[in-house]
Amino acid sequence: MSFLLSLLIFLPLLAGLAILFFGDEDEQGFARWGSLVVAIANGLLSIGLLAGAERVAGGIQLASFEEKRPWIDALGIQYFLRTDGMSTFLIILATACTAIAIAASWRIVSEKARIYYGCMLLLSGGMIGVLAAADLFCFYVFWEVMLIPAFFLIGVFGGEQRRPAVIKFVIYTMVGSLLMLIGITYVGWQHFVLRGSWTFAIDALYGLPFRDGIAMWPFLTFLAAFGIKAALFPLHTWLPAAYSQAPMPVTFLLSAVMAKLGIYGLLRVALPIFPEAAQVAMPVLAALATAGVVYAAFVALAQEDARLVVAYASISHLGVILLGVFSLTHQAVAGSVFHMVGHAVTTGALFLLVGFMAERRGSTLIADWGGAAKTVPVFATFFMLFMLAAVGLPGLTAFIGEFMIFLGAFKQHATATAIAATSIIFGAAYMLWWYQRTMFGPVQHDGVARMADLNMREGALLMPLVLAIIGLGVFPQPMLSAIAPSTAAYLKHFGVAADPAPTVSPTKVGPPAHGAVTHGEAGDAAPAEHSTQGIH
Amino acid sequence: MLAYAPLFPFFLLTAVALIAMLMSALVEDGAKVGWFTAAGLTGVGVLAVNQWASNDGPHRLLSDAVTIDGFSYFFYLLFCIIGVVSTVMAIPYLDREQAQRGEYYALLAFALTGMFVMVSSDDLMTLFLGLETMSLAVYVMVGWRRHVLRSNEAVLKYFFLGSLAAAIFLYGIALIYGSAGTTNLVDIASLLHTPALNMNPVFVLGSLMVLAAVGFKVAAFPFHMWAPDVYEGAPTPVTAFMATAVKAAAFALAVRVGLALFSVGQLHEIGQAVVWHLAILTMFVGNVFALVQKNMKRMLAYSSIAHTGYLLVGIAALPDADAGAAIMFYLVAYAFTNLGALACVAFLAGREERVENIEDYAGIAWRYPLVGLGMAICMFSLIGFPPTAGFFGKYYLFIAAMKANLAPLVVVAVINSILSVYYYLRVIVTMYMVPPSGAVDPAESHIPGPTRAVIVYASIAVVWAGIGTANITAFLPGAAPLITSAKDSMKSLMSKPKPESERTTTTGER
Repeated sequence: MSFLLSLLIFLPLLAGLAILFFGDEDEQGFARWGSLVVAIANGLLSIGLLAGAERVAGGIQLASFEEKRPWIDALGIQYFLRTDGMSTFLIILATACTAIAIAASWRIVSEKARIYYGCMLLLSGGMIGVLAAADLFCFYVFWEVMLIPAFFLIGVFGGEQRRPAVIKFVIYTMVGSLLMLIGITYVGWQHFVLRGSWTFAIDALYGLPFRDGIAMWPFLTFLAAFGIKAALFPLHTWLPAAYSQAPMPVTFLLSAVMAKLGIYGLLRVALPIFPEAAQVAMPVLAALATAGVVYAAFVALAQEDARLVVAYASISHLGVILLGVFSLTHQAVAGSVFHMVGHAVTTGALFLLVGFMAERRGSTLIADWGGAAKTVPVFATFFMLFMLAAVGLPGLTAFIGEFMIFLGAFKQHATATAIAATSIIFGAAYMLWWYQRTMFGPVQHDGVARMADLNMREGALLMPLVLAIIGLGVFPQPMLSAIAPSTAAYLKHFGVAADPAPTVSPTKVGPPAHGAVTHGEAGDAAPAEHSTQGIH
Repeated sequence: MLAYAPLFPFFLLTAVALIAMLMSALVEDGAKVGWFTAAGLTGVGVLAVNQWASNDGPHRLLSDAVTIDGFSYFFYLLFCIIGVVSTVMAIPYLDREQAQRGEYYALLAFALTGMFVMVSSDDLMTLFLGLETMSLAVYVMVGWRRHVLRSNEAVLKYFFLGSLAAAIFLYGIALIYGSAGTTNLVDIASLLHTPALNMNPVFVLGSLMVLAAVGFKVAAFPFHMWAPDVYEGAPTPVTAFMATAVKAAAFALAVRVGLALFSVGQLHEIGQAVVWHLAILTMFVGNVFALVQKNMKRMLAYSSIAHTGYLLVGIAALPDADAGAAIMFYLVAYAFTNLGALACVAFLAGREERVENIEDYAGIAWRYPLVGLGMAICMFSLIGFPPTAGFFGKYYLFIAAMKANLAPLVVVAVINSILSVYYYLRVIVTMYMVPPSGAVDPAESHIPGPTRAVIVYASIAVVWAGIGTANITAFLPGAAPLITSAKDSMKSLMSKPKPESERTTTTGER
């Protein structure tokens, strides 16, 4: 299956175009069933990426899927795709979330369905392309390709304030990506100057001895692009507007997958190509990430609209992941990759629930709620579960990720981590308060009293997310071991030792439970099965 | 006779123009002349491609006044494509405006004749002839709607300023002739290696005057003032023709003259410094003024000025062969994009071009899905969004500028691209995301076939030129893919005899 990656990208892209062009204007069945079938097929195909995984010394080595074709010879640009432990899970996440988002759109979209579902698939194809690209130029093309469908999805199908929101979203993103284009041109040109040939293969660009010393300004161009996408404080201001105006399934997809691409870009491109610049900037970046964590948590406390509560919560949690990325330790980086999936599932699920709320009540204002637990008990149960997962309840996935991140980050940025860790408290505060105001207390509004509970379709949509939250929370080890070889390879670019198992686990980490995590994640996989039990 | 074989496309084009002229006197229906011209131009294009494929090096003809090389053929083909498209676009337009007369198409063919001369002259005098042949024909086309006030204003402005530019050009030629003793570009280029000429202030002044005249034709700051009024007042198919063919011809001239006059020694430094500053100012003026435009055609005029600025970045990076190839690719990309966009504008404008404001486009994408999609693709290409042609055009320019150590210019160009996102995006937002206002005439529910064809093919070309820039090898018989082919053409242009020129030899090796 050497063409599996291309298939994963172009199946949704071409199907999306087909639905856009050949979809019927009035009949939406073809568009939505067609896109759902394609999305599910793609999801099943993406599981094929796990085939051929094998146990090695550093964890589980996933089979590397690779595809390479010449594209623009004059500049050494290739159509070059490859996966590793970091990208594989995110690709699976992307395909799964696309299917869920499309299924969740069933009742939200009534007209112009072919545009909606076509754009959903295009967005999905673009995101998978970004995750699979191993050539910087391909990466950029997919990076931009996913913006166009997102633009139409928000701008055509969004809420009242959609136009300012979408213009803000596109301009922010374009500023970042055009700046990144300078950076891409610069690194390609440096390769030409230093090595005598043009190439944009990401591997080949690692470790270039730049002529301008540490090359801080090109690093900053990449940082701008990825920071904006990942809502790094203070580049996050587009996010609340876009997330709250987009239709909820689109917000689900944006928050679950697209925001992660910024973090993925940092891990894959910006930091390893410019390791020296990254290390110089690291304290500042960690401080910004921390500022974002705390700031967004406070803002979330003050929100009156459920959509904005989740949007700011999302920024806060993204800040935690960014802190992990900027720490350059094994636990923190592996924790970040793991938490990208965990955060996607929890925040995504919360956005879906907000969408269901909006469908029922016609409002997402917290004041329009109250006492809903009495009328919609099933909904309240799901809500409780996802809310607790977002807060970081042990045994659920977000806990593992955040815990590993704080643990790893503490070694690098002790103060910042200490401050960021307060977000666990604030997170619990705004989440529980939100839950209490919407679900408990007396029923104050007729709308709430007459509300219908979740139906089978909605329950079925949430079930995979529930399974992911509990499954990854209880058995994180297989995934962590599969991530470990990639993070180890990644950290080599910064001169962090390849195999820290002998040094890190016994000496530096105090409590045995923590040590076990480190040990299992970076070291041998066999005792890890037991050691993760220690967390709970 | 066979020695003149490379001139056959030129002869054929002249014949097409003359026959179209005769036909318009004899045939009632102007549209027939239009279809004849389109067919004739297709023939010229096919002939040019055939000759290009079997091209055996530069042919220097007519006492070295004309050189026909890969560079010329590249532009012959581009002009023929633009000529055919703008002819086809004009047929339904002139019908609607009740200004359908055969002379229009004859003039268009004559303008193309002038452009053919411009891109293959190696002598300042023949260059001037070509430039004036083109300009005179375009003046008349701009004023085609005789009874429309705006059109009259446009043509007056264009004519007076154009004449001034022509005078400056001639004056520059006179100064160059006075100091160098020849008007032949190849001879001048070889003479430039003597310090006597390179440092001669009269020669420098003459060269700068030629540069200024070129700056007028490409609408570079500070010679850009005419562009918005003329673009707005001209019939939209003429606007499209000017924004694509005239601009491409002027840039081809800039490349040819620039390589001859500005590639050596002190003159290179002066030329680069001038173009460097003009590029920055042109980009900013174009983009900043485009931000505040309400009229679509004026917005596109300022956008055209901005794109001139991006192209000047490429001119500043000359004499690198990559820079030349990037400029050529950009011109192709920009031509397709603008033809598509202006075909949409021409259709939406309605009778007498009453609907031209961007806000009138509210919601029209849902009423005319094809027009909406075509316009959206073209706007994304103008922004420079992958995978459209506009993105690759910009990217090749940036790479070339980076290689020429012009990183600051690249940064300025990117800042300008960011500025431009807003006003292009506004068009798409208005078309797709604002409820309809009903300004577009309901009678226009049917898109004429030719317009439809132009929009469809231009959009496909924009996307194809993005994805397939380098790996669709079959588009020309025997010719390499577009960017490679542009590069080869550029090399053939630069491999003319230029003794002791290190620059030529180093770039020749690439």
